[in-house]
This record gives sequence, structure tokens and C-alpha cells, in this order.
Amino acid sequence: MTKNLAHSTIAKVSAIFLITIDMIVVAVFSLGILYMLHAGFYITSFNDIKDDLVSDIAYDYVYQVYTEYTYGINPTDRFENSNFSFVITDLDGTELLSTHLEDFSSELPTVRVDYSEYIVYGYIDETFPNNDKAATVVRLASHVYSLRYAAIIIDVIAAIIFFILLVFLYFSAGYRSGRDTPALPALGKIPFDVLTFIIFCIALLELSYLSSVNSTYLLIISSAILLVADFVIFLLYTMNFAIRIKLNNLISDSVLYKILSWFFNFLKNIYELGIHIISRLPLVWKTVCLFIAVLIFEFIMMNIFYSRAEMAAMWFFKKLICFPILIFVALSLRNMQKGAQQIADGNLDYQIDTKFMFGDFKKSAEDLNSINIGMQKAVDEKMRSERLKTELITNVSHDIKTPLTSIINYVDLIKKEHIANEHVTEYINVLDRQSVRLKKLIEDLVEASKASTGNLPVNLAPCDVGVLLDQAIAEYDDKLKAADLELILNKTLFPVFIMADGRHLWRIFDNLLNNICKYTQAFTRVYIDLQVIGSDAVIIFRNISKYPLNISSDELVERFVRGDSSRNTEGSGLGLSIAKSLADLQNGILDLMVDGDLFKVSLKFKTMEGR
Amino acid sequence: MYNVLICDDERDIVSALKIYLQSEDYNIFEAYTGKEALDVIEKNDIHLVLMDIMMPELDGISTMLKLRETSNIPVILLTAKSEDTDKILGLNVGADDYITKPFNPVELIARVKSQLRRYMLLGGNKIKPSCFTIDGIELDDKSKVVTVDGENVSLTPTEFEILKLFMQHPDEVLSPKEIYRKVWNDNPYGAESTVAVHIRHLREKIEINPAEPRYLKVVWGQGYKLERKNL
Repeated sequence: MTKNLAHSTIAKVSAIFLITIDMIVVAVFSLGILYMLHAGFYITSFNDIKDDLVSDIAYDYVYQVYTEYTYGINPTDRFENSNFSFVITDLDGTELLSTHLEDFSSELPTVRVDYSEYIVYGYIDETFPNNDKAATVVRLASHVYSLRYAAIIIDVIAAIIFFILLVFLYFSAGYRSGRDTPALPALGKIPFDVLTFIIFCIALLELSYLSSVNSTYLLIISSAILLVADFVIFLLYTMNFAIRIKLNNLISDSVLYKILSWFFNFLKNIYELGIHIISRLPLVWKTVCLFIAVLIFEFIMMNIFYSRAEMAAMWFFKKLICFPILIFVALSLRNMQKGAQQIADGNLDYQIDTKFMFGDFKKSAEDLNSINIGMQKAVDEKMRSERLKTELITNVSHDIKTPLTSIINYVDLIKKEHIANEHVTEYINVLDRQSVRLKKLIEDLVEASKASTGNLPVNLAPCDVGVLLDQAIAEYDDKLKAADLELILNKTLFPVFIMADGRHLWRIFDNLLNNICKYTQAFTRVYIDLQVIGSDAVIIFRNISKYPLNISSDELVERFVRGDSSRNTEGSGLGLSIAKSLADLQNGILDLMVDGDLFKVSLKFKTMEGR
Repeated sequence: MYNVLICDDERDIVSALKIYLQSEDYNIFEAYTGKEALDVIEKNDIHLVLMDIMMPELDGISTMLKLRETSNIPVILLTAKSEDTDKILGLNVGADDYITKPFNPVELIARVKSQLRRYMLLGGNKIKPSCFTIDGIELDDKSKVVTVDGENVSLTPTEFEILKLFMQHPDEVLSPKEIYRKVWNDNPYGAESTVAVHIRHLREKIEINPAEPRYLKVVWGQGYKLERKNL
């Protein structure tokens, strides 16, 4: 309910209207009460008040009578139909002019004023037979008097309403229907300090206008109007303040803040630039700059505090000796710094020149040099062992291949002998199959070792993946048919170029397609997709596995791991490992995903455009 | 009867090769080191040499270099080294072909035959105007006959056209799109994937081992090219 009201524009506009009226009521009543307090409405009886009022009026009239009479005008007519009557006497008490019907000495006058030439007695008939100013004032006063306590109550109630409305307005400020967070209205977006300034200007304008108004009547009217207008403006201004408090942007959204923060940013940038320049400055120059700065400072100080010539000469000599030592230390440090930098950058051949160093600097520099030599040794060792490993595998494979050649050939020769014995034929077939498998295993082993150690020349060149896929699939055309697989190729309509070594990329596809032919359930479809996603060319191979794949995709790329744990089919278990290594070599990413029987391989390369 | 020299330090391999080649009616000479091989070649009229690279005393490459000083008989290198760099080195020093161990006997015999035919029969063939010749491949555009090392090869009209295109542009990489446009006389619009299958079949017909083609090579990711050995 409150929320609905707070979000309703009509409610807010009405509230503003009401609070304005309420403000007027409060103002009027407060002023009235103040007046009544001043007039003693709350401490004296009405008769006393009436007497005061009547005598005030009587004094006024008496003065008028006196003035007119002095100037020779007869004031009688003026008071014809009023409750006022007067008697003018000279100083001796002789009656000069009278409107009072009775003998003036028999009745106490309301007022008596002794002027220098005359005495004027003023009478007001307190029964008020005539309806004149005095009668009206007294009647009004009696009304007001009777309402003097009610006025306080009304004032208090109006003030309470005023505060309730004020709280409501501040609370609801900024909310609009259909929005949960407060926001500034279009006009309220003026920065708060600018707004304050505008309001200050308006106030100044008003004051200057009011001070230029001469007529009291106009002054009262215009100040009343301005008071109401100012109240509304002030209300809106404080509401704006409330919204900003809610949004917490009172300070950050002000022009002053922006100017200051810009200025501080500017200072900060200058500071950072200075730090940047100083940090880029070679050590020796830094030292020289600092030395000169200290020199200038000391020189100035010396000129101020002592001026003896001997002292100056002494100071000068001291500095003259210090300077080369300082430069030497800085140079040595600089050399070591350079050397450390080179080591950090991986330049292991770098040696610091220690010829012109001595003492602790020389020792430190030599230590750095020996670190470098040690690291160089370690790196060489590592590279040598990597190379040796590959060489060993290559050499061993050569040595295995020679006897294997004999085995394969003689098995083949035995086969050609057409031996009638059924068992022998069967055994020979096993020998034949296994020797071929051994051959494949050795070839794969060499390749896997080379691919994983990066011991393989890689010539990256623009390569059309679509064309390569066509070529690879053409190579496997017959094999796929033999395995009863239907291949569905989804290519992009445009050629997709990547930087790759065509032969290695073919080896990847070769291994993947080989796996597909070997391990896919017959009479299923194999999907190969080529897509461009962002700056990547993505090739996805999907097939349905013949065997349940109860190992994780991470394990599958391990060397010698195969989907079928029985290991009774041909294959080395190196295919995926080789493919992954080859993809790495060409800055590609090979990912495997196993989802039930769905086996998915995705290859990702940066396209030429995306590089 | 051709005289074939087999040279390997593995006696078992030499004997096996002897059995295979004798069954094809070749006269076999044996050698177990490079030196022996050179001796045999000097003393006998050898038509073809099958030689291992890694041998004691004088290795296959050095033997090759010595041999090429005096003779141009075909030499097929036979080795367990399967690196590309080894193959290139072998062919550059003058070998005519290269077979890696362990080899397939059928392939070996086919290669031996092909080298012998080229050396003995096609040495000084005169060139007919309608004929394209690249190394062992001969294509007669008029009679539509293709021979590889003197053997007739039967090709489908499409395969013939593709081969002709390659013969006209030897050592040039042709993309599937280009091939489709020139052979089918049509814009490919995605149909170029059929080219790969046709070329695969063509390779099966003109190559001894389609997985390791001598002539029609696959340039992966770009296209295909017909490689000329002797420029």
C-alpha cells in the first residue's frame, strides 16, 4: 500500500499540493498564536484586552481630531456615525468643541490627551450602537479570543500533518511506477551543486526584488506569493537531496567533485609518469640526477647558513671525491642489474664483465655468472636427454625392424608353401597378423615419441581444412564402406584456412578416421562437422562406439590405452596420443568427449582471419 | 634374364629376397657389404641393385656415390630408416626408388619390375606428338592409352582426363576446385569432394603403393600434384 502510494505520481503531486496548503495554514496559525501571545490573549481576561484595543483606537482618533482641529478643520463630520465622540477644551478646561452628548466632566473619558494648547477627551461607547472600525475590531477580537486554544490545536495538527507529508515525500522521492530502484527525474539530473547554486541565485533575485518594492500592500502580497513558491522549490530541492542520498551520488554526481577528481587524476597521472620516467632511467643517470639535486640543495643551504670561503672549498673538495666513487658504485650495480635481467629473460649465454669490479661487487657478479652457467648446464642436460630419448627410440626401432623384416618375409614364404596341415595354416595366419601389428606398433612408437617431444619438423602453411577433410575421407572411402558406416560430412560453404602442417594434420585425421573404422558400431552414421566458431575452426568427429567405453576421455589419450580392454584388435593404442601431440605441435587443441556410447573428438585451430 | 644384386648385411634378408626374386626368374648376385657390392658390379653385368643403407665398412649412401661415378643402373634403397630426410637424401644422391623395412614382398617385386622395365625397355623411347611422358607414365591422348613403366593401365574416362590435366601441369599443385572446373567443365558448388575419390582410385591404378605414391602426391589441405623426378 505504502509502496503503491510511493510509486504513484498522482499521490506525490497531491501530497505536494496538500503540504503547500498545510504550510500556509501552519504559517498563518503560528503567526496568529505569536500575535495572540504578544497581545496577552492567554494571560489576561477579554475585558482587559477589549479595553486595550478600545483605548488604542481612541488614541488614534484623538490624535486625528487634534491634528485636524489645529489646522482649522472641523473633525465633527468624520465621526458622525461612529461610536466615538470627543471634547476639546483649552488648558483651563473651557469646552471648545464637543460631539459628546453628555457633560464631559460627569463621565470618565476613555482617553485623555494633554497637548500643549488643548486637552482632548475621547469617548467610545462600548455598547457599540454604530458599526464602525472599533466595533469590528472588538468583535473580531472576541472571536479570536474564543478560538485562542483551538488555534493551538489546529496549528499542532497541521504541523503533524506537515511532517507526515514531508516524510512521505522524502520517502517516496525518486520512485516511479514500474521501477524498484529510485532514479532521478529528468529535470533533477542537474548536478546537486549546480542546483544549489541556481536556488541561491533565485533567492538573491527575490530578495533584490522585495527590497525594491515600495508599497507595503504589494510587498505583503508578493512576499506571500514568493513564500509559497519558495516553499515548493525548497520542497523539490530537498526531495532531490533525498533521492541523491538514496542513490548515494550526492557527492559523486556534483560538478565540483568531477572537477576535483579530474584534477586529482591529472596529478596522479603526472606522478605516475614521473615514476615511470624515473624507473626507466638507467641507474647511473638516476644516481647523477640525485647527486646533482643534493648538490644544489646543499649549496643553497650553505649560502644561507654559512658563508665562509674555506668551508665552501672544503665542501667542494668533498663532493669532488665523492662523485667518482658514487658513479663507480652505480656503474657496478648497473652491470649486475643488466646481468640479472638477462638471466631472468632466459639469455643463458650472458656473462657479466667483472674486469672493472672489485670487492663485494665482483663476488656478487661472479655468483650471478655461476648461476647462469649452472642453469645453462641444466637446460643443455635436459635438451640432450630429450634428444637422446628420441634417438634411443628411433635406433631401437631400426634395430627391431631388421629382424622383423626377416620374420615377415619368412612367414610370407611359409604361407606360399601351401602346407596342407590346417593347424599350421592357422598358426601362420596368427604369426602374419601379429608381425604386421608389431610393425605398426614400432612405427607408431617412433612417431609418438617424436611428436610428444616436439622432435618433428613442423612447416606451418595455409591449409584449407575443407579440402583436407575431402582428401582424408576419400582415402577412407573403401574402409568406411567395408565397416558398413555411413559418413555424413557437414562443411562450411566457404573455405576455412588455418595455419598447419598439412602432413601432420592428415596424420591426425588419419588416426581419427582409423579409430572410427575400427571402433564404430556397424550400420551407424558417423558425423564429421567443420564449423567456424568465432576465430576458431572447429572440426568435430562423432561416432557410436562398438564397445562400452568405461574409461574416461582423459585416459583415452594416454599412450597405449585402448577403448577395448581385451586388446584383441589391431592397433597400438597410440593413435589418439599421437593425434593430440601433433595437434599441440600445430597450436591446435584436441578434446575428447565420451557420453555413453557417443564418442566425440573436437579439434580446434585458430583460423587465418582469427590469428 | 636380368642380373639383380642384393646387398644387405643381414644374411636372412638377403636369402629371403633371393627366394622372392628367383621366383620371378631373376639371376641373383649377393653381397654383404658395400665393398663387396662394388666388386660384384665391376665384375658382372648387373641390371639392378637392391641395397641396404646401414652396412658395415661402406654404407649404402657412400656405395651409391661411388657407383654413380661409373654407372647409371637403377638402385633401390632398402632400409629401416623411415625418416623423410633419409628418403630425400637417398633419392638426391642418385637412388631411383626407396623401400622401407619391413617391406611388403609384393610391393618390392613390383618396384623392382618397374625399375627394370624403365631401364631396359624405355631408355630411348621416341616421343610421339600426342603423347605426354613423365618419368614412367606415358599418356597417349589419341589412342587414350596410359602405360606406367610399360604396363597398360585401364582408366575410366574421368580418371584419364584428370591424369591428362596433371600431365599437362607437372609439379603444380592443383586444387580440387580447379580440377573439377577443368575436367567436368562446370562450376563445383561443393561438388569438388568427388574429385578426391576419383584421384584416390586413379592413384590405386598408377601407383605401386597408393599410401606412398611415387607420382601423384597428395598435398594435404591444398590439392594434388604430379611430381617429376628428373627435371
